[in-house]
Amino acid sequence: MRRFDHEDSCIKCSICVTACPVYRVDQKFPGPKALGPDWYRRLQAGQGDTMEHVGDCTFCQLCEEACPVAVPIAHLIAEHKRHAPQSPRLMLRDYLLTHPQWLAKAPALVKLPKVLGVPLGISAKTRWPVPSPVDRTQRLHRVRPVKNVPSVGIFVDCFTRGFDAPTLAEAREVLERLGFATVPLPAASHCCGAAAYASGLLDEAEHSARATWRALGRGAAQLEAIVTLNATCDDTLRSEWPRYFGLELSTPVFSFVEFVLKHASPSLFASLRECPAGEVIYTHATCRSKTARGEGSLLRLVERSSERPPRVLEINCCGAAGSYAFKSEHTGVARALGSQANQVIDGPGIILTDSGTCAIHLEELTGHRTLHPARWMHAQLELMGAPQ
Amino acid sequence: MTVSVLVVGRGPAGLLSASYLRQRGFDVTILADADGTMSMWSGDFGFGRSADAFESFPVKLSQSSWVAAFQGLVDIFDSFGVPLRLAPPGVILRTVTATGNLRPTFAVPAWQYASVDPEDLIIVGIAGLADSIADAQAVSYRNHVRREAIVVKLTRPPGWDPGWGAIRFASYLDTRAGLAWFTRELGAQLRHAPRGVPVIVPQILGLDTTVEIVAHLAGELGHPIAEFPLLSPSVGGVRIRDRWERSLRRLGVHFITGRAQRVSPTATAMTDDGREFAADYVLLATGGVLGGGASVTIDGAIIDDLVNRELGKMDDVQSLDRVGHPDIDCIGGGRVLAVGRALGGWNPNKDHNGGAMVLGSVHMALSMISED
Ligand SMILES: Cc1cc2nc3c(=O)[nH]c(=O)nc-3n(C[C@H](O)[C@H](O)[C@H](O)COP(=O)(O)OP(=O)(O)OC[C@H]3O[C@@H](n4cnc5c(N)ncnc54)[C@H](O)[C@@H]3O)c2cc1C
Ligand SMILES: Cc1cc2nc3c(=O)[nH]c(=O)nc-3n(C[C@H](O)[C@H](O)[C@H](O)COP(=O)(O)OP(=O)(O)OC[C@H]3O[C@@H](n4cnc5c(N)ncnc54)[C@H](O)[C@@H]3O)c2cc1C
Ligand code: SF4
Ligand code: SF4
Repeated sequence: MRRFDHEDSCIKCSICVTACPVYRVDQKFPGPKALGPDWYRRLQAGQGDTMEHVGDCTFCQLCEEACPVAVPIAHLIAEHKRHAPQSPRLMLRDYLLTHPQWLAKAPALVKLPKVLGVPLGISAKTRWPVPSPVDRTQRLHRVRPVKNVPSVGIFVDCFTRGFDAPTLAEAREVLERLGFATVPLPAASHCCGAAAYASGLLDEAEHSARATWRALGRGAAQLEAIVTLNATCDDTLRSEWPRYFGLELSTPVFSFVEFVLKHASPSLFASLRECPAGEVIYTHATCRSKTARGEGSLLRLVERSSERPPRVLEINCCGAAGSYAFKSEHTGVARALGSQANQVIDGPGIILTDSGTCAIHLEELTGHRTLHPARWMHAQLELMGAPQ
Repeated sequence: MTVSVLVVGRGPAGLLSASYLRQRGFDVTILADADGTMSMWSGDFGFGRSADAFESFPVKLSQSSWVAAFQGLVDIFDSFGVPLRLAPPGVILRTVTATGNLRPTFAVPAWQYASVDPEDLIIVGIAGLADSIADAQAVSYRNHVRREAIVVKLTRPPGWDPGWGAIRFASYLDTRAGLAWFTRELGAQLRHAPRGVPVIVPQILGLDTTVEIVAHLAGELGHPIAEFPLLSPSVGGVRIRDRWERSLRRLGVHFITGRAQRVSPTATAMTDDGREFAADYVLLATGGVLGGGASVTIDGAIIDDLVNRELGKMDDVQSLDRVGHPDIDCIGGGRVLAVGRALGGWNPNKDHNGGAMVLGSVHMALSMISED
């Protein structure tokens, strides 16, 4: 059994239950309190029987964020998932889905007919990403830090590596524009471990995390910062690695959004705001972005860079939740959560979100083009560069 | 230049501050490390239960300022879809508790039962819902209020299991199937009830569609219908919190997650993970000891670590619940202000005056900002 902080501090206030998005849409889901701290206390008392719907938790961590006494609710639920029985068929599927670093090496696999995945429990409904046309091994060319220019690492998560080459390229250009040389990390395909943790495969999560940590190790030390493109990986590297696996990085980690807010000059923002306003921007900070840092930074970035005030997409978790929406038993919940976006969107526009899986999910359910903020920033900068 | 305000905490005091500030065009950021207590109570804003509650109230505002503050509250709640019923001048509104007592309130969400004069009531009990104790509630109502209380009971809904709490019942009633079940069952039970008598039901009438549900039921059943609040977490409070936060997000308030570690007198806050937020003003809506805004050191001093200020000694205080900053301008200089329970000297858990305290303290802080 893994040790946590505050794992036994629950005061039974049930605030977590009021914050859980799945609890609202799924009448069978027992909710964070029953699955996390209540189950954990029974386990401590030697009654470790697991509950049926524990696997339906998305690991969004909104419950943890709400908890007044910092109970690691979602992490206790992940432990609960680990104890719960799973059929060999679904175990195989979960094992595959929670090693996205393999898929990132062979992204073209997603082009196989969807029916092939159905016997494995892979959703035939959820839209799959489109592979990026990069070389077969998905190894990134080693880039060395440039002398006399501050260099930052850019963490290439599995999704970006396999399916979102444009975001990586454009994020690098934006950072270069701010005066930083960028080094994509790690060279080979690795996963931070978040996907496995969310499914309760805690040993695999730790294994993946360690491998990634080692792969980052040497190169990262010479860099000023590591910039992340996905909110879940960001939180995993920054806070879950040290807290749950004892893995420390000597280089500070920043999300792309926070890094740009910190380093772009006021005059750059002023020039951006002078460009003609484009479409309405809806910002959707993913659930993990909200729970770890808050959605205010993405809102702030768009406000600073565009004359037209952005709109926050007032939903909590869109239901994509990494590999969650790809599992057939979760399709209904994932779509119910994501469809809530349609109730708050009140006109045309584009959605900005800091996760690739959330982007495809939201784009499918809302019909609105959905992009990483780096791509939008890049377009804004191009607009500024273009003669008016 | 737009004036920027950082609000630390997102309980009722933090949310209310943000609403008022945004209304006035300030740039607002809310920094909080957890949910506040908005979901813990039903959201009836009162001065307390005693007869002289208003006269003995710790925050001193003129009568006209109170009227303006309450009217402002009604407007804000209205803007995000929570109709509030305000007691007319000189009149006391009373709401019914889960244990069958009447208690005074000043402003109460319209979905919650409140009345100026005691009335005969039909009380609905629901099997499988903890805290629904209609028989005992009716006995207590008859004894205390000396009016009739008729009990009708509904059986457990389809799909019910022992894990169902009020929040689950409420999300079920938000569904078409749930509302159909409730309308049918309650209609059957009310068939022989005297028409027109108000019906009160435990607070489970949906989370998202309450206003519509109440209107639908009143139309279908031929009785005025309203809720009485259950114990916390409160479905009514969750509704308010959800709508309130959604509207603040839409209005462009920046929600930041994190724990503030230090606030300087020059209105800059630092989080425990090294982020810095500079503003023109900081409002401490950190909730006192209960909300995590103050702590007790090993030698018995009660301190607010954020501004590194001692608020009292364990040996000297009668109740930890009352401890907070003695004044709104909490460290001098006028840029860091304490609102809600971060301001001390009152104990809402005992005196039931939380709503008015939040409103009064936020109102005072705002007038200090506006005067600058
Ligand atoms: C997790 C937990 C486990 C516990 N386990 C046990 C146990 O096993 N055995 C045991 O003996 N005790 C236990 N207790 C303690 C016991 O529940 C409390 O001592 C008891 O509930 C306290 O009663 P109270 O009336 O002081 O406050 P509360 O129960 O909190 O009731 C206060 C009432 O006043 C209302 N109220 C509060 N503030 C306001 C306000 N500002 N305005 C209007 N109304 C307000 C509330 O809505 C509520 O109705 C436990 C407590 C907790 C939290
Ligand atoms: C059980 C219960 C019943 C109640 N019933 C009633 C009632 O019937 N009538 C009534 O009028 N009022 C009632 N109240 C409300 C109560 O009276 C007060 O109004 C309320 O608790 C005070 O709210 P607040 O906004 O000041 O603080 P809180 O709601 O406690 O909010 C504190 C906020 O500050 C945050 N925070 C604290 N420290 C930090 C930090 N260092 N960094 C970042 N964030 C921080 C917390 O995370 C939280 O978001 C009730 C309250 C409770 C708990
Ligand atoms: S992690 Fe998310 S889905 Fe899981 S219990 Fe918590 S709030 Fe609910
Ligand atoms: S919010 Fe935290 S303390 Fe409250 S019931 Fe949930 S786990 Fe327990």
